[in-house]
Amino acid sequence: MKKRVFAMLMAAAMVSTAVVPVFAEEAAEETTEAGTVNDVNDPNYQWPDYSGETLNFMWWGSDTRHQKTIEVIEMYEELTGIDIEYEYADGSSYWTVFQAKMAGNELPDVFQMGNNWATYYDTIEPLNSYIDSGIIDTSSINEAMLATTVNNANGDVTGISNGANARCFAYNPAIFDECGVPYPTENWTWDDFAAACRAITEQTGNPAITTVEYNSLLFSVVTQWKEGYNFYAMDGSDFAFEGDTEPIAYFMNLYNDLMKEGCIGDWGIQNEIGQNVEADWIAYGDAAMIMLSSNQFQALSNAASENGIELELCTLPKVSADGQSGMVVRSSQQLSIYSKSEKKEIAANFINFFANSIEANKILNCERGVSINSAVLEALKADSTLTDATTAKVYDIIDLIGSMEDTKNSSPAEPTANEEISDVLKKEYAQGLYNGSYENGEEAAEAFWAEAQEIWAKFETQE
Amino acid sequence: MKESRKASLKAFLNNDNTVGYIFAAPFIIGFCGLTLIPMALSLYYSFCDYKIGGNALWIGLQNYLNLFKDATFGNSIMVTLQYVLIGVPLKLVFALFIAMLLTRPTRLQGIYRAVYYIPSLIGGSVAVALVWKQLFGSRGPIVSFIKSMGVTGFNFFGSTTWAFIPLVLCNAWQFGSSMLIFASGLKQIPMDYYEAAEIDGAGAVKRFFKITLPCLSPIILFNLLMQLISGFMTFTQAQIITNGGPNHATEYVSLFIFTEGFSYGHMGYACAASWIILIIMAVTTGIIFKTSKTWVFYEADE
Repeated sequence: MKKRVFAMLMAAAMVSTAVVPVFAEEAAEETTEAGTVNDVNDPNYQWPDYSGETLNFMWWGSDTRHQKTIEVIEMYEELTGIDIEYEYADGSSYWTVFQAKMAGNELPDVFQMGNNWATYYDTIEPLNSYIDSGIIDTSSINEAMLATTVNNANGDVTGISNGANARCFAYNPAIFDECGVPYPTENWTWDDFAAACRAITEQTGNPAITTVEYNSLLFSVVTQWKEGYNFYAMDGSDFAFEGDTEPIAYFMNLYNDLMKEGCIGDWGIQNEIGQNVEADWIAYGDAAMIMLSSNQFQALSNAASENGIELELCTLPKVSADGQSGMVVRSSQQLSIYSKSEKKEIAANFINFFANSIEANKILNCERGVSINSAVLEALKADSTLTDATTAKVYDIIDLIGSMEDTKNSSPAEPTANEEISDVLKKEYAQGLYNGSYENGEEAAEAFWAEAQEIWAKFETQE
Repeated sequence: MKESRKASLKAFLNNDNTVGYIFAAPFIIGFCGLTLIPMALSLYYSFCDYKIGGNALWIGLQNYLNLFKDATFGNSIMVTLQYVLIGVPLKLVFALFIAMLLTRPTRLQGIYRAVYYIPSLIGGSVAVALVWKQLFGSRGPIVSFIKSMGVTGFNFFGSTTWAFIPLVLCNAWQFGSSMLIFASGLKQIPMDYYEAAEIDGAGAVKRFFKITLPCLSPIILFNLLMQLISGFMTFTQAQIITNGGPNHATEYVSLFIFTEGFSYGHMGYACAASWIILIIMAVTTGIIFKTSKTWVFYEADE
């Protein structure tokens, strides 16, 4: 086999000197023409031949994701003859690796990027030209979700979203039943949440919840507080809550009281679990609730079902039952092309495959979030072996949150300063309040707001 | 003319200095590329507002002035000192203790030494940090044991007072290299000292304090300095096990520098912090050297 290929190559080489220029032109024409129909699901699709080429790809995630992604990579390698060198990490160490590579100008051609793309803007190649030329086919991609990865300031498409998801809660109905606590509803409030936590902890002796993403919940409470409020403005250009520290203090007090009473796992437990939802106490049947991103539900459910636990999803608690939901369906992550990559076109083709191929997405099965591609989603939903009860729950919660009128008021923006502001919020103020550095939530909220503005100013001058 | 040039080239190549430099070249290149140039760059960046991948903007001493006002930085120095002051003596005492046990001649001595050295080989690694995280974690055996004694709600990593204990223990557990150095030091103490002392009626405790410790003091000085320096640079365990928390209780300076430089993108600020730490370390080492005259005993001086 190898010998024959070699012989053919030699023959091709002999005639190529004369033919190549014509060939190249033809090929170029073909891509522009085929551009409008770069439809990887077409049974007659002509897979590009990338033999001998390599492409670097890096992502973060859980073990489930690593396995699925590697399977898809192997599929693409088989179809195009390309060699994809991949690297993966868990959510927290990913950015360390990313920054080291960024400093050395050695980022992979394609990488997974989060909502924090503003921070790494210089490393990202805008995809506009690839979408215009049709290499990346966006014909069946949801317009609104496509817009979530666009830089509103100049219209640059920073990447193609890997899926839609929303922050929500998962709970273990068995524990709720056992403790006689009513299940969370669509309109449950923070008071309901606190009451449920207290009742459960009192009866089980364990924290009712051990993972709560502090900063994003606090930001949600700000959005819920009053229509028009958001922690960051829609376009991430400023804060957007008129410096009103009342909602911040409200959440800080609520959270701190619950943690002091042992209803929320202490900071040590939360740090231990980190972003590894499979290690959350809910998976062992000890905690009753968890806050998570809807796309993490599959992995969590798998871990929990090993212990015979079945989980349900519900929306975030609200400040008042008839008030703002503070929820938003957002792009959790996207695939972006490195601005200094030498293989941008190949990278764009790979992204096109990743976003549009039904076969590939049957493997990925919305683990990164509910597919934003309507054709793909339809095919997945039609296949009962893929859409099991767990995935159906994820689809349902995304549908529910997507149908809420007020999600348009919630800002998904994560400006450059967010990383430091969120970190300081947790390490300095939330944990400081817990350890008695502040009298009460009001005092901590005031101090936090002052520092948040300072940090913001620091990044303004850096730009 | 040609002849003489050839001869001089040959003479140059055979010169002892040339040969020396050629053989030392791998180290020299490594030292320049991996230590000297980065250090010079970090000194330069410490006077700049610099973010990785961005442009360095000269701001003079601003970073240093801000550092002196930064409570988090002050706190990180304090917790590092706490870690060093508790962790280093603990580790040295432990290493000396094991080394003394191991100098008793037995047939398995070689195996014992190898076995006790293993933790040091794997010590700095992420895997060990993860094991300690599990061991002392909220679902780990140690906390479970404490729980079974009736203490509720106790968790090492959730408490600002207790969080550093597992880190110190993890460090002390990696006593292997200090132990080997102690062991070889112990072997060099002449047996006749002990025999003479025994005949004079000195007990084991007295022999230890009057003979072993003074004779071992140069080695203790060396181990102390090495461990002090590595203690100041502790990073992996703190980053993996506690991530500096809770409430900065284990945010050692190296972790502070890492967070500022890589997570927040204030690389210039982080560089300035690392230079301050360098100065603190140099001063500490200097003080120990100065005091060493009073407690280190060199046989040659007699």
